[in-house]
Amino acid sequence: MKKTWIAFFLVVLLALAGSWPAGAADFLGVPLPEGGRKVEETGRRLQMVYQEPVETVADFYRQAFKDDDTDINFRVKPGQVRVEDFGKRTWHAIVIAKQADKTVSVTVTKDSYVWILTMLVFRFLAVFVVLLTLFIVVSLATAIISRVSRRQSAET
Amino acid sequence: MSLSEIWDLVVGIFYTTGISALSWKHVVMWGVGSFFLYLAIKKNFEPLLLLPIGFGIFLVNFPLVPLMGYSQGHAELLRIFYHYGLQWEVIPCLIFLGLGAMTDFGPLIANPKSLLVGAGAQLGVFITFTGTMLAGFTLKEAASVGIIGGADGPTTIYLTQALAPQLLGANALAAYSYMAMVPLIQPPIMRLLTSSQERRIRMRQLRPVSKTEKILYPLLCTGVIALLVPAVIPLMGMFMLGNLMKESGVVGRLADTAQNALMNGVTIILGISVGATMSGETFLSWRPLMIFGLGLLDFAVCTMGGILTVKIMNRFLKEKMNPLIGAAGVSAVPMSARVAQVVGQQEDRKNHLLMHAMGPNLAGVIGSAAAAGMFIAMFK
Repeated sequence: MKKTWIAFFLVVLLALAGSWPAGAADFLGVPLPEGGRKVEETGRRLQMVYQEPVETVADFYRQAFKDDDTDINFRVKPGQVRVEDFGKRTWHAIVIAKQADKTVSVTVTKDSYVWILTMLVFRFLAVFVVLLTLFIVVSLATAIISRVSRRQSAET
Repeated sequence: MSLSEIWDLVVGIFYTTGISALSWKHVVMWGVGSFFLYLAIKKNFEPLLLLPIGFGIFLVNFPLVPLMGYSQGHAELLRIFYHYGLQWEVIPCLIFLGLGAMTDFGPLIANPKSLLVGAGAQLGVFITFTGTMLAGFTLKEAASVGIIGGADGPTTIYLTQALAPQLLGANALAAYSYMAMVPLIQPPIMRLLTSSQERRIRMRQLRPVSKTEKILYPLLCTGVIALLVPAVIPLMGMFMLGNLMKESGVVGRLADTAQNALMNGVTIILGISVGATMSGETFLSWRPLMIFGLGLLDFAVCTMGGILTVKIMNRFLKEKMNPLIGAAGVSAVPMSARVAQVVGQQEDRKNHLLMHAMGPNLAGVIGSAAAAGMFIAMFK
């Protein structure tokens, strides 16, 4: 009887181990591709370096988030793919960037109120910049128009 | 035919009626729809929007009605309106076309400083964003709730549809309801933040604006917005096209259609489509109540932002501006400008602020669109 129980527990343990991806590592719930070298790790930030092209690493994340991508954006720039989360995950961004030495760095940053509040302050200031630019453009245009019309009326 | 066969027939007929599938959620939503119909008909609160919205809520909250679903693979009537009008983001842009054809930018061109007031009045949008986020909404949802304070219905609908379509009904209702309640919400805040002396400030009469300036303005504004906030150009482009049609004076028929026939038709479809998104299944939760609460805070902070911006500007200006016109920075054209006039005249009957307040009022439209553009660029 005892042996049967031991065998049963072993089978359960093996089944659980089988369902866990071999060698899978993660940081703040972000899966990490295998074969990388850790450059820096703090509680808020992890940087890894890979010998893979940017697109391969980006595809790894596209695949990883394909079932739950409502609040995840992939922004593609030359030599860089930025994965941003606007949902309630503990991480905020994964930046996959090509380095000068042809390697690819993957940087995962933790979500925080600091970046959200900083972003809000910058966006609010940006609204001022837009309307200030419009103010300058309109003021210049009206000044030119009134000068031209004054000159025209002086000539006539 | 046996008795049991007749009974089966009767039961079969019963199951084709709505009564068989009626639930308490339907009944509650009839009450919600009727409340907004009451506000529109009895209280005259934004009736052009709240009446079709209220009726839309009433209409879709009957069981088995073929309105918002799909029958045999084909979209039903209100689903078609919603899909092509709102999901495709067509209606808010057409509304802006009509609004542009109705707008006179003269007061804004005569006093371009008021553009900054429109920016300051977006303070509530960003503060409410934080509050909404802390209340447990996602960032995209927080952005769509925050924009309610911009007091611009089409902009709210446009942004919500782009970022958080699940909140469309609640956000649109909050925006239009509070826009109608501007005369109740703003005056206490205006009195609280200004002294009697400040409310008596008289402003110099605005200079006349030439036709050339009025024609040039939509082009300049389009250029600046397209360069700095391209994400919102579908809205602002249509707004400025409508205005150019009006100011050019050469396409009277088009301008007339945009501000009357087209605007009216589109308003009906907008109202009923927004109302149709509010079925009991999706609407009855704590979230709409939170949105209404946060929307009120939003309006209040936006009003404060506009007033404080004028007060800060006054420190640097030789000719002082009346801070009451800052409250008009929350768009809600022309209601908030009228409120500034009324509150000003309570202090000094000969002080006419209406035209001065129209500048920040129009700047508020551009400011809220710019804020919406910032969010779309960030989250979409």
